[in-house]
Amino acid sequence: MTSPRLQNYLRSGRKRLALSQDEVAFLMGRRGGAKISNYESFSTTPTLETALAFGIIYGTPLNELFAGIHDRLARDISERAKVLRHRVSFKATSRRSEKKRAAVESLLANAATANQQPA
Amino acid sequence: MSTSQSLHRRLAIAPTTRGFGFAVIERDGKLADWGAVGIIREKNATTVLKVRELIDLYRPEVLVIEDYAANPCRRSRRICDLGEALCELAASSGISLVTTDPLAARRRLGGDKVATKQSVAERLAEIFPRELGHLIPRKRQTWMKEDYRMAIFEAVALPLAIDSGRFVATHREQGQALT
Repeated sequence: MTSPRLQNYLRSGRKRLALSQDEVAFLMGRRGGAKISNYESFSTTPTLETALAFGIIYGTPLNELFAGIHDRLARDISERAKVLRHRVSFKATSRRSEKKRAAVESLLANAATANQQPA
Repeated sequence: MSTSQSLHRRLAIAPTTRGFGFAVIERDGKLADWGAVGIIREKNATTVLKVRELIDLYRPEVLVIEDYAANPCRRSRRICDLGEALCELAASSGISLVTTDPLAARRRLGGDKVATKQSVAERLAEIFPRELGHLIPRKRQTWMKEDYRMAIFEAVALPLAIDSGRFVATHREQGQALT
């Protein structure tokens, strides 16, 4: 059994740049570092805008910065894709349904590849 | 930058006279967190409290500390007692405890048994340049106190000693492999 990845790696991203929480808050246009502390200790999840700002400041892709959330979403989507594959398999053959099947299969293949790669 | 692969997240604690250094190493060998914590009063009790907070936050599977029972143990009575307290904390938190010989880390990282802490820190900064590169302390002179940041390097070095195979598992969850 392997450990799941942490919800986010905001703290390591910040420490790599030797920035304080207050300095990151300043870069984001906030007043204090309390919110940053909450994000780093996983007690709050940032909004999309804040997450993008973290990505810009730390120069890290969001799927790496929020690895745990990414893994959970990928797992959930993969489960639902299996259900969707089952549903679309009963649809009459048409160009549109073929395209839909291909999209779902590609989604499942990507999820399988991501699962095989070490995180 | 990563070092070695493991199936588990590891939390390493390196107590010092002024507090402790810690490092959280992910299963892929990347550093998830690191730092030095200064403690003024009731050092052992506060250290245990702080380590518990780290365990609650990062949920590591393995706690790595120095092997205080190793002969010759040159650490103070307080640090040896703290080692005992950390053993109990690991048991009560249901995580595996691994004790390592700090000399093993020096042998592995510094090349020989008599490698200095400074040379080990420099080697670790080469392994983790983005994380630790800016934290290397100035070379210590005989009249200088040890820099507080050295505790971070000591903590990071401990799990690497496990990777070299020189470790003693003192507590292990049933059926859990320490690979």
